[in-house]
Amino acid sequence: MFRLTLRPLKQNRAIWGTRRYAKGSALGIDASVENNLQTETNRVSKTLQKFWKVVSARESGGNVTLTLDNKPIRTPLGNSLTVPKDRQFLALVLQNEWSNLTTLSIKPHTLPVTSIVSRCIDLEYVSTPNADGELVAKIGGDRKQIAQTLLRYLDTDTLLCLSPKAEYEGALRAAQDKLYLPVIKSAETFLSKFAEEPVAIQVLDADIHGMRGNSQLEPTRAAALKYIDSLSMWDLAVFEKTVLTTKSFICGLLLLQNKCQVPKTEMPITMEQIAQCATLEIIYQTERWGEVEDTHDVDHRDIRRNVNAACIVAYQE
Amino acid sequence: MSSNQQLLVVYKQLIRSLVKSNKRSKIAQITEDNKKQVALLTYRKFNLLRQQASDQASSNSSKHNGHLSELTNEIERLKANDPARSKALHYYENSSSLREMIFQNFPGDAGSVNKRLQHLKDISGFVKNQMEYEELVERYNPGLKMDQEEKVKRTAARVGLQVPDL
Repeated sequence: MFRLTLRPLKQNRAIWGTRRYAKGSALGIDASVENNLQTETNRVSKTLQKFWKVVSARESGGNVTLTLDNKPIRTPLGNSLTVPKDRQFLALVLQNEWSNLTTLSIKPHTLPVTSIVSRCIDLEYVSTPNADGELVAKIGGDRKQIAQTLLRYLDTDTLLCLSPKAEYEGALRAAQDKLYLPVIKSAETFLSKFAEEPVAIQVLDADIHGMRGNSQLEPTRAAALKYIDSLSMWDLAVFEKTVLTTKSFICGLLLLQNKCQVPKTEMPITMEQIAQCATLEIIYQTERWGEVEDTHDVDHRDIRRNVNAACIVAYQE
Repeated sequence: MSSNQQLLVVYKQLIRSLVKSNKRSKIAQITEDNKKQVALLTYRKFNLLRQQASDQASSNSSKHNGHLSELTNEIERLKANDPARSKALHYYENSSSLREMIFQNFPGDAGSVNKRLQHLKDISGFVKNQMEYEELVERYNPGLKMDQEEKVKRTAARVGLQVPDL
């Protein structure tokens, strides 16, 4: 992941205090290892300075490379920030993102799309059979490990934990039933394609199960693992980002299904709906208790910008 | 509404959100550039003045006057320049390539058109939410965008002191 997310800002916190942002707790990334490769992304994250004048997109051989003053932007591992030409909208968004930086505005959250794309490119780079083991460890690029960690999100998926009927006069539960149940059903159907028999997803119903953890049955886990293994490295990085943002395996599934090549999907859903699914409980909480400044309003945008950034990276025609 | 019209509507919406979100950073960039330019010109002006002073000793003083007033005017102009009124704020510079992307190699079937429409909406959703997020973070953390000079000034002001003007 983009180094920016791993480094605290050197600022006088005591007086002009900043909110502590979630560190890039990303899967398997060892934040203790400093990456000192001299690449553009590392430089911008370490100095927080703008060191270029012109951002442009250079086309060559079916690819588009983003450049700063005619030199390619490089990801933390030193690969150039290049996307296939059929992802032209992505290239445009990347260019827009870089051309809107100013020295004082460079912060860990200002390059969300670049951050995902860098992860995609670097993951692809370290997934080649003779990749340097140290580099793999540096960016947490072990595919098996990523899959295992992501799989845990299916146990405690946001969409699988249903509230008691007594809360909010049953309104929250009714909304959950309406939004989640069809999605869970279609996820079951979808995952069944990766197993010999239809799989069932365990739901944690607070009225029946009370307070306990949730875990999926072995066949479901196997099918989900098979699904993760079927993803390209690029899609895996997008999937990872979505799952981490929404705390939901199923949301990741939905996003990829709606944005990858095939136009037809069994579970059509908009990105706004995905964001709503992931924050349904908060919607009811703020409705009743009011919004907390600097928390709910910021998080509302945060989840949407992240989900939309992920979908821009995933999109293929 | 035909799919072409729909695309046009979504395209306009996307351009609007891009222009709106880029506005802030453009203003900041122009301000930053102006500041740098002013510093550079002021430096040149001082050099000229110094040279003039040393030339005066050898009695050919008025040689630099024209150049000097040119520099002064330029500095004044830059200082008076209000970045918020720049015309560059009202358009998106890559709009032609964006238009090309959207309207050329137009997908044939309704499914793909819908997918593209939806995606364009998602892009403007991203641009909008990213902008609002940054604005909020900035509003709640006013120290984030201050430069060192400003921070020192305010820190001193907290204890009733003033930083001398240099």
